[in-house]
Amino acid sequence: MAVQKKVRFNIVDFLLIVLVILSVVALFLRPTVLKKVEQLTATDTAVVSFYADGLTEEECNILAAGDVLSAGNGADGELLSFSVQPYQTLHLIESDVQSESSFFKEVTEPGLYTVKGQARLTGARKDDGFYVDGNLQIGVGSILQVQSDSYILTLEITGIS
Amino acid sequence: MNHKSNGKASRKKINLVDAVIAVVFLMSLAVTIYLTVTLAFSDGDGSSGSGMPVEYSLTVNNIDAERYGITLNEQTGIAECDFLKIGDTLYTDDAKSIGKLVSIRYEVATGSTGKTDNDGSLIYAEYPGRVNLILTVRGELSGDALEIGDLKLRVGKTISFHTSGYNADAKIMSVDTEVE
Repeated sequence: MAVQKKVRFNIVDFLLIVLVILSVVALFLRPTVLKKVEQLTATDTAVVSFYADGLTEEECNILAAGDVLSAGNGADGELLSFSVQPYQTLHLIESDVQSESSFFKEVTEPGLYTVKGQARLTGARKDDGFYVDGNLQIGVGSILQVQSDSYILTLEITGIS
Repeated sequence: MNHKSNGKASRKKINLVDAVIAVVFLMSLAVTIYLTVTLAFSDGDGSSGSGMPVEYSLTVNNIDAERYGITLNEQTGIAECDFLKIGDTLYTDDAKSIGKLVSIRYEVATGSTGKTDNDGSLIYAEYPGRVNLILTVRGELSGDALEIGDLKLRVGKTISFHTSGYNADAKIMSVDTEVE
């Protein structure tokens, strides 16, 4: 008479499988988890100086010192101060005189303005710079889009401390 | 008579579950070792690698000197600013070092007027208040190829880099391996 072998549930094998699967998952999720933790624990602040070019008068009028700014998911900040000045761009000035050569000159763009200001941003300071939103490194020269409840502003960062 | 039932030939059978566990474990081990080795030799400070020094220059074009607070020395051609200093480490976007800054010079930025001279050459005019920063960077090659970390040093290539206080796109203008 044939004896049928009974398949039994082995708890040790099961635990080993769970352990190995968890280890693999943890290994692959490690960078994501670390970034998320950095994002959640970001407590450093930086004050950035910025310019925002080509704004209309209406856009400038919406801005107010103290506005809460967001620079991505979870990174917050505040518009500390700002001033408004005419927006100037370089134009090629053609000379009418044959002997004179053309040249570039700063020309004021009517109806458009430049906002110069300072903002405080929350993030994480690392060896290679200041990070907002977990993985966005910013420094002088960075173009950073921030938003409040009522506007979006594209900042050209010219100073950071 | 059935060999199985009398137990005379008790061949050891591979347990499928154990085999799967072993394979998954070995795969995870391989991935862990690969990641560890990759990170350990990832040219973290720009000084690891083959040890062969290389110097290359980058140009960051058309910067408003006043807006960025850049002091220009017309006699020496040296530019000074708060956000970029000699000795600063340059990083790629994925935070890998590509060398250290050894000099910061500048030239006046120019643009084409769209006109040509008698020889047929385009005439350029200065952009008032704008400069091109010329950065010289020194690092060590990762191997025999002209590379620092993942960065392939090719003249004419545009790269994104950052230091602890500055971000820019720049063009590689020269690469020199004959440095002391």
